[in-house]
Amino acid sequence: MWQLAEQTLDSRLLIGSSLYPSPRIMQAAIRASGAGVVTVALRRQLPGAGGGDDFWAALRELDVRLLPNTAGCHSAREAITTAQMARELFGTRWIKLEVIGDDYNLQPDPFGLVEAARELVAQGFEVFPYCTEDLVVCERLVDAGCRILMPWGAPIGTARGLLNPYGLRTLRERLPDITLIVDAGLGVPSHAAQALELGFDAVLLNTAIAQAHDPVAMASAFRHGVSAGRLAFEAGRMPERDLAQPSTPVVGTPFWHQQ
Amino acid sequence: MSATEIRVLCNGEHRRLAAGRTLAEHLPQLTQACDFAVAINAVFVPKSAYAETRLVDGDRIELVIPMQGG
Repeated sequence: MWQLAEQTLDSRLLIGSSLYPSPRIMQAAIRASGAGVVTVALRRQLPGAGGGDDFWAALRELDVRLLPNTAGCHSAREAITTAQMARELFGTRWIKLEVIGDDYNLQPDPFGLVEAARELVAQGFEVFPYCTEDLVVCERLVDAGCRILMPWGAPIGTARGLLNPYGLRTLRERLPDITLIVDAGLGVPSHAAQALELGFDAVLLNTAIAQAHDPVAMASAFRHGVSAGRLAFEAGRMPERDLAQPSTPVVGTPFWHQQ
Repeated sequence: MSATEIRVLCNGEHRRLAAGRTLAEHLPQLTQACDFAVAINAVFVPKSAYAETRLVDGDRIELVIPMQGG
């Protein structure tokens, strides 16, 4: 059990609701993942644009907490208005704050992010900013009132894992009281395990499960990866060494003789 | 455009609506969705304000519904 804002959760995996082959597979994958928090979005109602009743009905059958996002916003103003609409539509003050600064790699705009976070915290939101692993940006977000930070592992949908473990480890060491969640860029359960081993509180992912050949099986695999990583962190890893050290006792080795 | 009509942009599409009416009166024409939220000219309009929000010519309406997200 762990605490995310005011919510007590069993799972340290947060999961997205997008890109699944069907709403039924989405539902089965979310169940298999064990996740207690699911990200959602809001979009214009357009004919043939997905979403709609099937998706929403499948999601509402699940006993999960929703985390709406501001995906696609390119300015603090857009993100703030989107967050306000999300709060009413989904009945939650939680918001995954995305302000995109570069369309090529969907890199967050740190300036827009800090501006929007400050305003949304003032309006009573629990802000989950999707940010880079830059320590100073993260400190500014904490100054703005964020208690949770979600640095990327790698750009969204790339499946490349933790590109900067040093930066992520530094964040964990420097911000011990902040809830840290690696969001985006994970591809396989070992990536999730690595994030948890570093002491991150949780991971959030979507594409790695939704676009797997068997999303339900992959959801289960990530569930185990997250559990293994957390257990390893709590167990306390041994230090790294430069030189080999035998694990089998040396004393009494047969055929040994003094040179 | 006649004085009895306004032209608005709803989710990027041009629409002609009767003039002098509120958002609450126009909504059945604009959406069949049960769960939705509204912004006009990039400003959020809470449900409690629908009945007192009068649409005017040139308004840009965003009407959003729950959607898959990551």
